[in-house]
Amino acid sequence: MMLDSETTKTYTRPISKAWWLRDRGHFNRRYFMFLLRELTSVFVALYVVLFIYEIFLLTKGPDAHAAFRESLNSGPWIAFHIIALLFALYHSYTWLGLTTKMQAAGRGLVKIGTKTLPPILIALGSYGAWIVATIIIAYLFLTL
Amino acid sequence: MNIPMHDVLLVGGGGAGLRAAIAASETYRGADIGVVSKVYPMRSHTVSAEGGTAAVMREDDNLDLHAYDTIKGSDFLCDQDVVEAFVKEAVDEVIQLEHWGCPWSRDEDGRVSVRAFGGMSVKRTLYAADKTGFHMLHALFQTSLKYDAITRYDEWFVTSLLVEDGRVCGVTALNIRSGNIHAIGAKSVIICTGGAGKIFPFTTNAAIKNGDGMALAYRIGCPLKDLEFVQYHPTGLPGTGILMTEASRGEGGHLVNSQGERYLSEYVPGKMELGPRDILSRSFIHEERKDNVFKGPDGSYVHLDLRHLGEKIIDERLPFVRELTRNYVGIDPVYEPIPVRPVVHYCMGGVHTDINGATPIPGLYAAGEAACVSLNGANRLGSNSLTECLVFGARAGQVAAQHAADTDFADSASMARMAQDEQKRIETQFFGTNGKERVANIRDDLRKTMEEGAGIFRTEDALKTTCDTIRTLKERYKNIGIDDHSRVFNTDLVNALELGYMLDVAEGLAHSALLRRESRGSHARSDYEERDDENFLKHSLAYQTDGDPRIEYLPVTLTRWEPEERTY
Amino acid sequence: MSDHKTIKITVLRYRPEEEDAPTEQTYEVEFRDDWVVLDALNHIKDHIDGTLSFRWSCRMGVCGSCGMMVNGEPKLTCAAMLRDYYPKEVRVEPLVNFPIVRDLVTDMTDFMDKLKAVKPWIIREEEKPVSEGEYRQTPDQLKDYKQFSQCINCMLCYAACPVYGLEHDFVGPAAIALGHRYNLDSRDEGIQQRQHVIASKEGIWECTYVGECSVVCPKHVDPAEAIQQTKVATTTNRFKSLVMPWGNKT
Ligand SMILES: Cc1cc2nc3c(=O)[nH]c(=O)nc-3n(C[C@H](O)[C@H](O)[C@H](O)COP(=O)(O)OP(=O)(O)OC[C@H]3O[C@@H](n4cnc5c(N)ncnc54)[C@H](O)[C@@H]3O)c2cc1C
Ligand code: SF4
Ligand code: FES
Repeated sequence: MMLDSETTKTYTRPISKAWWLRDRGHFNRRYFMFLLRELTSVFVALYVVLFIYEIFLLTKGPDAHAAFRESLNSGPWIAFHIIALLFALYHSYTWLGLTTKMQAAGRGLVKIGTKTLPPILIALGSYGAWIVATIIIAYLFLTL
Repeated sequence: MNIPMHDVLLVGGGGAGLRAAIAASETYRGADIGVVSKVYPMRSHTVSAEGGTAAVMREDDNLDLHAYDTIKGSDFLCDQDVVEAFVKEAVDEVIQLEHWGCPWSRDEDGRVSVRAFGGMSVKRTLYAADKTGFHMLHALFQTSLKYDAITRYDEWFVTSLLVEDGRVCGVTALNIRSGNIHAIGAKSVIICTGGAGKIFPFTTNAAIKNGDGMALAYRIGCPLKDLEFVQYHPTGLPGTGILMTEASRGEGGHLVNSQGERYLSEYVPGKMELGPRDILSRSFIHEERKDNVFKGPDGSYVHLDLRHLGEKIIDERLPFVRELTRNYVGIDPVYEPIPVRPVVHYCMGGVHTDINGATPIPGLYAAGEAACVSLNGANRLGSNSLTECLVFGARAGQVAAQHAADTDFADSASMARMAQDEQKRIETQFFGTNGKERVANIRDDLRKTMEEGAGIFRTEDALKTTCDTIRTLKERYKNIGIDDHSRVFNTDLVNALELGYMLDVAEGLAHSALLRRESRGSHARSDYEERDDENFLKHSLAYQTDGDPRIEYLPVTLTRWEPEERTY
Repeated sequence: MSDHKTIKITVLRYRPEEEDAPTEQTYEVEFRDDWVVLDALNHIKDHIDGTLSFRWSCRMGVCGSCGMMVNGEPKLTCAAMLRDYYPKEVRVEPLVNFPIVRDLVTDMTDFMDKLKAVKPWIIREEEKPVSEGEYRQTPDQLKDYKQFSQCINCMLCYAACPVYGLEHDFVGPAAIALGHRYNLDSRDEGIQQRQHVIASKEGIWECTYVGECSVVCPKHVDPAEAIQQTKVATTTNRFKSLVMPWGNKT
């Protein structure tokens, strides 16, 4: 127990709304990248909305769908897709990178016998699985 | 006025203080314990202890051997009954700490590991890599959090001991945060304020080690025992004094002079790098006189060479050494030798107590480095002092709690008055005057004169000069002026108060050293090179008077070991 | 090292008895090549301006007292070499995300309360008497929690954590890492008692994984990892107890 000492006046510094951009006068790359990662979800969400809309159009017949596909060929839409793809890649990459954090302290969550699997293997495994899954999905799409 | 009252009050929240607090609260149900510490307890300097803590843990070891090593290490100035109790209780104490979660390094079979240490004839030093003190302190502190009977006063600075009818009944303390002085009442007060290394210029000690508790006791008439014995650690970094733990030699490191020789073969051939600290530190001075040392901006140095241990051992057992040298001198011990020289490390002397930590003043106890139970005599063996904090912290905690159970609180109104007087005293002394003397200047002059007169080698003349200088410094202190006259977190004031403590301890130390006309353990007199058991096999007791301190003597307790020549 | 270099040090000042908001003050300090930022602050205090307040003790990076913002980054000032900043100016501020008490001194009572809340001590159903000796613990078992026991409570991670800055109820990196340290200790049986603090909304689930705590930690405790491990473990345990309610024993 800590005696409630006679507290004195303190000063609490306000947190700037742009803390992730300029951290007390200094650019903090890691805060920025973090916010970027949070931002990826916005693009992923937008893409999902678009995708659902596309499926919805399929129910309206092939013409409606084809017209929609055609409209996607414009510059801005292509740009949107590229950005969304990059964000999705970045998100997956960092998310899977976190899996290493289960491992490092010696006490890994994934063990073989008493030995902890090295974190790098976990990361490589995750990335590998990701790439394999992507290839399978791409194959299914392109061949079906 | 409402005054907080505790059965037992700890002044100091380091290893000794926290151990005592837990022991006191376990002594009887309902015991109410207070811990006052000028820094958050986990900042106490126990945190910096690196090498380890000694106890008999293995089959090749026994209690008598640990006792004998300690007694011989002390140059026969310890009390042997104290040593016998110590080695016995040490074992339970380190196991208790293991149960409280201390992450001791382990052998493959799961037992706690032991390593070699200077002056110990077998491996008996338990360790947690080379952050032993850090882990012990945090284990103790975190464990102490579960005791609701313990109230903490973090960042409160004790300014005096309250005495009524000849017994100690509490303290006055400055709440550093608010700047107010309060009385805290207690039936028993235990001083656990640590050492006083900061009265010297080059030391392994932290900023907080200014002998506060020793001076507090000294000022109410309690004697300080064996103050003249100051341990130099042979391997500190030049300048900063950052410690390169003895474990680096325990693990096999070499000391090498500028000629590339392991020069210790000349001084302690039987033990080499594992010789006791006093002898190793003196060997350095001999080498310096022979011009066999390297010269640097912070004075001369020799090399501590760990390269042959290899990266794996260094990272496993001495990671902190590697971290410190990389950070502070830009040297990686895996590839380069480390520059080292002797620096002030430990005070063998302190508040005079009996085997239970009780001082001659009723209600006042002491433990840890601030105390002198006479375990360390004229030279402490490395890794005995952390254990000392545990063993005698626990003892003092228990005895102080028992005393509290049979005692009443003093009158709170009179304590409140004493606190007001103390506030007035401090305000007049530090805020009321326009003194011209700066804290830092007096402090620097004090450190300089201590090094010159009371360093590794001492002489009558140099000590006399030091005593005189301290007297004039005390005069100058009366004319002190501080820049900061505000209340909230006034560290200028804290530093000024600490300087007052330092001057008192330095005075007792220099006078005790002046009168000990022999060489024993860490106290080496160039003018009296031999140990003189006839006249000086006794403890010194320094009492404060209006003038110079009065030095008295007390016989040493011998049980089974007769003094013999101390060779290694 | 007779080089006479001078560096400008700007310090955030806050004297609650005199002012309502912090101001700043610049000092010029002649420094030696082996000086750390803390040495410069001490030089200022001793010889230029005794009114500057800050905490320090060990000057060897182990007591955890001297954490401050140095040019915007949380640092132990006793481990930050001045020469690494020279010839640029150095700006020293109290650790952010904490209330300022005075000058470079912050209020850390919030952390002390949180530390206690995670019960950072060994909890046993039955304590073994000391007379029966030590608990056996293999070097592998020690390694399981060792890294998380290296925390010096310096608060740099709290200063680096934007979540703590925005949401003060967050238990925060160091306290979670220390609770986790005991959960992983083979001698401990208290995981259930800590769970309601650690695996709560204010605990691990508040963390959005910025990861900055682990970057600034001077002792490589990697609190982010403690949080991540606990998240995964808690989730798997919940999942297990859902699909196999009979086999749930953590
Ligand atoms: C670098 C270094 C390495 C060491 N390595 C070892 C080792 O390997 N093995 C070993 O056995 N020993 C070692 N030692 C010695 C050992 O660490 C100390 O002797 C021991 O830790 C002292 O503990 P303590 O509890 O007496 O005091 P400390 O831990 O110094 O605690 C003192 C306490 O008193 C408080 N205090 C002081 N003055 C006041 C005041 N006026 N008001 C309120 N509170 C106050 C402080 O806040 C603090 O809490 C080492 C020492 C150093 C410096
Ligand atoms: S986790 Fe690291 S940064 Fe955070 S308090 Fe502990 S040592 Fe400091
Ligand atoms: S002063 Fe102790 S960590 Fe910096």
